[in-house]
Amino acid sequence: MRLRIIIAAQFLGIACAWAQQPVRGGALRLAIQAEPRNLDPAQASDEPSELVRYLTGGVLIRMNRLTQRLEPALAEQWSYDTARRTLTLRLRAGVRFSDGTPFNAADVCHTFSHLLDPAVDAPSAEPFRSVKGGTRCEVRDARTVALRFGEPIAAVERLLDDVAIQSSRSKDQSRPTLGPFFISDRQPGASLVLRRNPNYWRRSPSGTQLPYLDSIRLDIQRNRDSELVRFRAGELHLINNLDSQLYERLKSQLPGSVRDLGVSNDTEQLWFNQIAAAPLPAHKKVWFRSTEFRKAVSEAINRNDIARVVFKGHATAAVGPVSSANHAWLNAAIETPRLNLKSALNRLSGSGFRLRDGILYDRAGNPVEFSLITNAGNRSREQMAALIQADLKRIGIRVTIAPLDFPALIGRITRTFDYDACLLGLVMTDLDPIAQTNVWLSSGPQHQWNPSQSSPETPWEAEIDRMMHTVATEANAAARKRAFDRVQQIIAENVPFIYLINRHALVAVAPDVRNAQPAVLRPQTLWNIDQLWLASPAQVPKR
Amino acid sequence: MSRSGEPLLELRLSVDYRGGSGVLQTFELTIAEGELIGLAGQSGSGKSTLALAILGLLDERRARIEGSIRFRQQELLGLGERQWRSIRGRRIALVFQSAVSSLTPTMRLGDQIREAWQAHSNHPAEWRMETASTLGAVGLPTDDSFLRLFPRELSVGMAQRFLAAMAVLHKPDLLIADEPTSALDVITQSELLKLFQSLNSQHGTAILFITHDIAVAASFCHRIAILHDGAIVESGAPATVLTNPREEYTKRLVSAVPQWNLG
Amino acid sequence: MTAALERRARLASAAFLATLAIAALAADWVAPYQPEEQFRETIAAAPSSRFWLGTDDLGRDRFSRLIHATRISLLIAPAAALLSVVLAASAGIAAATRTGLIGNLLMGAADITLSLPWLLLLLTVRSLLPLDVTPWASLTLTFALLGAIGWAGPARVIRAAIRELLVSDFVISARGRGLSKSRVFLCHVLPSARPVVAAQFWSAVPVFVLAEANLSFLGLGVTEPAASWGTMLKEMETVLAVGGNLLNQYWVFAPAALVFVSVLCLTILFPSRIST
Ligand SMILES: Nc1ncnc2c1ncn2[C@@H]1O[C@H](COP(=O)(O)OP(=O)(O)OP(=O)(O)O)[C@@H](O)[C@H]1O
Ligand SMILES: [Mg+2]
Repeated sequence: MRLRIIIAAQFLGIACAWAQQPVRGGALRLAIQAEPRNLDPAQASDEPSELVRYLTGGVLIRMNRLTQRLEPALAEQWSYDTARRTLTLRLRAGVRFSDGTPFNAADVCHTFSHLLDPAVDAPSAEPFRSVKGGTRCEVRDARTVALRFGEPIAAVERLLDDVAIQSSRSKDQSRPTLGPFFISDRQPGASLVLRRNPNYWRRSPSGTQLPYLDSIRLDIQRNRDSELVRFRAGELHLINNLDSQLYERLKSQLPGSVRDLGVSNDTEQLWFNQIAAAPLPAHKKVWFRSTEFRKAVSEAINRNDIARVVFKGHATAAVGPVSSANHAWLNAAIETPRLNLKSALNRLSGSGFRLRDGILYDRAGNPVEFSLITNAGNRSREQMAALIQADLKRIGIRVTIAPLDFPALIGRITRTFDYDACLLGLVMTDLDPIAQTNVWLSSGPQHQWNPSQSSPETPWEAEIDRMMHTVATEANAAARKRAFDRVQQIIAENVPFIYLINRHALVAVAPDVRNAQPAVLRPQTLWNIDQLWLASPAQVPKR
Repeated sequence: MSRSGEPLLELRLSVDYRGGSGVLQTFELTIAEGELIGLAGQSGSGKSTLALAILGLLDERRARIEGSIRFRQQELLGLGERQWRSIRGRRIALVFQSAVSSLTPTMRLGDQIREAWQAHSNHPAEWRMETASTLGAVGLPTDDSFLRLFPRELSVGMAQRFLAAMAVLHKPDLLIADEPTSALDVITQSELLKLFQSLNSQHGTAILFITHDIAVAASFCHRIAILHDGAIVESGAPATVLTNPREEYTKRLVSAVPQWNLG
Repeated sequence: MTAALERRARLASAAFLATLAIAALAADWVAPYQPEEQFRETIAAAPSSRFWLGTDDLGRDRFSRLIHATRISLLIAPAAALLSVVLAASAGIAAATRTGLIGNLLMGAADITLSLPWLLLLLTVRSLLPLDVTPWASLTLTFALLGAIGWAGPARVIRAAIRELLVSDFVISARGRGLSKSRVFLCHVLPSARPVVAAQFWSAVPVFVLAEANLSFLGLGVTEPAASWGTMLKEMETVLAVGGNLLNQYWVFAPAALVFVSVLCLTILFPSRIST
């Protein structure tokens, strides 16, 4: 009897010790919402493709999603020359691709020549290509690479997080890889299986070759409800980007598995069409181009209600383009816009609008009404629109909600410009505003309220252009921050985008997933994929 | 009325139904003014087809018709719809074979007979008086309650008499009666035949009497024609055809008549 | 079903639908609140004396919305059915009486209509529309579109029925009396075709109620803040798909129950078989 107890105790002790120790092996399963459109890492532009790139691609410099700091990866060190026109990178020694071939500087320059090839039209090459005088990659020696730019440049090393190094010896753009996994099996429309890269360069502190997981299975599951059901049944290990409704539901069923990571960088905004050539009645253009009108609308919207009602509290009223999740770039001096109907009505009457019998009329007697387009089938956007509709009714503005299917919506906001106002969200993948150049430059195609202007139409847009130039080229970090603070200030004063809320990052992690450190930044639960491991069933508390 | 001179109707016809072999093959028949002619033949031999063909009522989508139909020297084949209409019901009338299904189920009897009268009358308002005598002649009531009935409320015999009444309203030159007596009891049958006979004697209406009851045809007609294999195989006075059939087919037809009584 | 039972069922159905129709017509008086009024402090509430069927995710009174939705769905679905049957009857009659090119063209059009990817077309039509259509206009348009799509099937049935009537004994007999073609068609053919057309109409009504529901699922049809049966059914979608505790929120199913019972009543009242 005694002996048995001792044995049992010992066994328990071993089991406990073992539980702390990461175990190699196992297959992690999760769902992606669509088929990755392009497995060539240079051409990834959709979320599934970007996720596959993150899981398989080796990059020179990685941003730690938790600390938001850059960490060495395939490059051990990097430095700018004094003119800030050359970035020199020292590569890690002894690294091999997943097929066993050695990695060296030639692979880096091969990757850049592919990336910068106009025929490839790589979205992640855009910032490199927009540099005046272009970007060139030079092999200094087998372990040293120099990126040379036609003009002084700032913060370009952050962009390397998106550049997966490809083998100069392989014709297949997606294989072999330098990241923790490689694509081993692909069933179009059904799934993608990633297998452990046996030659992955990284080791755990105790010296174990990473990653711990044998494989990752990505099931293509368009329907998020089904994803939730499968997670509950234990078929999936992780869910990223949960919507608040599903989050609440899962929380009531499996309280331990969900996490609200707090404010994310993603924004939801409404903007009015300010394009001079848009096919709209002249009087509407006058309203939409009036800063006072836009400010009044902004002040009439109850952002806290949106956060509470639509997002069940998993969203926070937005300040501007930068959320409070982005400590480095937020302009803390800007106040969150507040609900203030009185001020809104004052602004309106100050610019010639009149409220009569609950209906707002402009100076010429036109009733103020506009249509708000958003993408059909997106429940939270439709609900936001319904709240905004009710809010603006209180200042006499009639809003017609027009949910459109996505291609039609994009067609209207990028080609025909036949719309009054649009409600959409923007996904911010990078913390540095350099990635938002397209949005803020008046010549940018994503300057949605009035895109691709040949010269800035307003003084404040001209000032934004100047500030963004500083952000893109200034070496001094404090000067860049000052410039972008000013951009945030100008946006707050002129409200071209009416920022509504920032969603919280919501994820679900199954209890058998260990080492998970979900981050607000994409890919949320998966950013430290090489550290994740799966506990064996015996170690998992019963659900 | 004289039976000499120009014939009333002269036929030379071939009729095919789509997808079948010819029903009538260069069928020839001449009907004299005021003649009572019986047309006998087996079921399916094409008697009804002939009746429809004479009135231009064959479904042009399904039947192909060739030859000529000369009515009082006038060629009927190829007439326009308007000209056909002036002939149908006024100069050539038809009593259709299946009495019950030949009355429009959704219309009251009064409406149907009024419509039949007004189709060819210059005195549309007088339909009540004009139709009452005809209805009386076929032994049908003439009161309002009868005229308000729907066809489904009639017996088969009443329906057949009603059809006959509508056919003779305008005292046509030729009456085609497709088995008008098949559903009638003997007494009603003889009443209807009497109506036809008086029409014939008073107005000189020629009657093409289609039947497979050769006995009735014989008792009623001046002449009997036997239809077989798409053509007239024998034609002549009833006594001759019945007592001395020349054709093999006529013999079989005659022998099939039960209780043949020449008297 | 015995005759007595059937009569009772029909009576009950008629009473139910009549009550519903009256309530829907008088929605402004019957409904305790405006259908779009948001009580943001009580979102997704359970039934109470204040909100008889609880509130939806935006805090709108579900009972009031249901009554207004009924007005939209129950009163306009017959309009769409009427439109489609009128179109179907015109096309069917034309195809039956005009042989040759026109008839073939019409039936070809019906075949194409039946085989078109209507979902895509509806999406396209919606995206081409002016954006500021009022909810009522967009709804009417949706039903008009539904009606325009729904003509093809009934047109075939009506054409077949008319062709059969055109060669029936009583029609030939009437023509044999010298009546004009148009008179024969109007007085002898059409009245007999009426039951067929009516059956097409009554079987189309429930189909259109459900079709509108499906369109709303796709973000077409009724837009915020108006409610239809379709948008109310949509509310259940997440509850159903995720399979939360359904018994805890049975009231979410009130719209579904109402739609089900109404369609059932319609089919009891107007069985789709052709009465002779
Ligand atoms: N509309 C039609 N389409 C095709 N075939 C037809 C049509 N009407 C009749 N037939 C065929 O034509 C032939 C003659 O038919 P019809 O009705 O003229 O015969 P009938 O001599 O009147 O027969 P019954 O004594 O039974 O009335 C039959 O073989 C029949 O099957
Ligand atoms: Mg016959």
